[in-house]
Amino acid sequence: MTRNVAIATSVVEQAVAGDAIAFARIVAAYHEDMIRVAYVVSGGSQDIADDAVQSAWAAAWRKLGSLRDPDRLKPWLVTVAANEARQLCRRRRTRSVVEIDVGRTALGMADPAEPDPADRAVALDLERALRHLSADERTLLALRYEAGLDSSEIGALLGRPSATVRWRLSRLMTRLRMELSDA
Amino acid sequence: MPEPDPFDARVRAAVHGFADQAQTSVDAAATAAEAIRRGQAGRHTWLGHTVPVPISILIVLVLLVPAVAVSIGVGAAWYQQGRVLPVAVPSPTPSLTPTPSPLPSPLPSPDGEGDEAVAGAEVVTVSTSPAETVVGDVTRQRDGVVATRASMNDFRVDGNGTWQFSADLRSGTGPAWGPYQLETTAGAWEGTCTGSLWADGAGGTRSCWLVGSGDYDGYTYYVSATWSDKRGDVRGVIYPGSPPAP
Repeated sequence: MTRNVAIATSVVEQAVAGDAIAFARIVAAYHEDMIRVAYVVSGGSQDIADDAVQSAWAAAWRKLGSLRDPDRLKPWLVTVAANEARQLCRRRRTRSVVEIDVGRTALGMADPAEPDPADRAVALDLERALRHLSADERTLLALRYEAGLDSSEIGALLGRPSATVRWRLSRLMTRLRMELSDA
Repeated sequence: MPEPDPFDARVRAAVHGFADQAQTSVDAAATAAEAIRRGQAGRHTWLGHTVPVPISILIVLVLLVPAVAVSIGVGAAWYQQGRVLPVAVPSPTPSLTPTPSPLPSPLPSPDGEGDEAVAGAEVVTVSTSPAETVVGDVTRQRDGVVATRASMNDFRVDGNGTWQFSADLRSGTGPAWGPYQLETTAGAWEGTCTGSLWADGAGGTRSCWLVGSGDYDGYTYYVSATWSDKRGDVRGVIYPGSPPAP
């Protein structure tokens, strides 16, 4: 889930000035958000997510001073992580292995705490569909639904017009609907 | 307040569920230290100030620039010594001849008549998203509509355009084609464009042979546009006659 962790502007300023402890506080605050986004972008590769976020932190250390609005630190960081993950995916041309929790679905061993097996099946189909999207497409979904950014924010952070982002998200949702209705 | 889309909520839940599988634990101090170590490789400082290039390159530049300047100066002196230079006679009155611009004007000023080389800018927006089908690794886009608003130096091609485009994209990039119509105050231009799209249409090129109607009957307008993030440069030629036969 999207977490709300606030880092004081002064901590960001200290990190910009080269304070390693302040930078470690930022890492502690936002590493989880970045890993979660990078994991979605990578299509479920922990290795890529870890490598991407480590690279993102190095980039953040170099470029933190260019961040105009310290209040936008989290969106900026998760976007850097998403971009690193996307580039790693392209370089490694990873084809994700589709993992399905067979024990709890095919054998009908549903968790009684879960409300409806049909909902869980839909969720599994969605997860499977997510894994088959391109890294670019998963980047949009991760930033929209995991990081909770709107089209304007995504567009600004990725350097694309917000209308283009809206259009691509709309197309993606249409495709997902179609794939799930065909399933 | 609009009702939330149930499918939107399902996708959100699926993305969160997917992300829940990630291992997120971290040793913040170690991660920060490693980031700083790796980041230092790309962060260069000189006298306490961050500089965009490694210090070694700066030193080379500092040494190279004076050397090049001296070399040019010596070379120029030597060149002048070897030539008989005309004696400069000061003009009794300031010359009224304008000093030519170092760069020639790229286009003649248009008079709005006859043949003309034209230039300007355009704003590009997708007014209708294309229908899409995915075949292998190709995304086939059909019958999308791009609206253009051209601000040109010749009123005959200053107006609103509509490009009904199709495209075959691989990773968001590929060829595009389709009919184009440009409406202006005194007439219209119609024809076909071919070009390319990239970044899923955020950028592209378009070259069109357009035939005039209304006041532009008997004229052809060839136009080439390149745009990125909604804004583009336009260059073209208006001339009497028809487009060339293929």
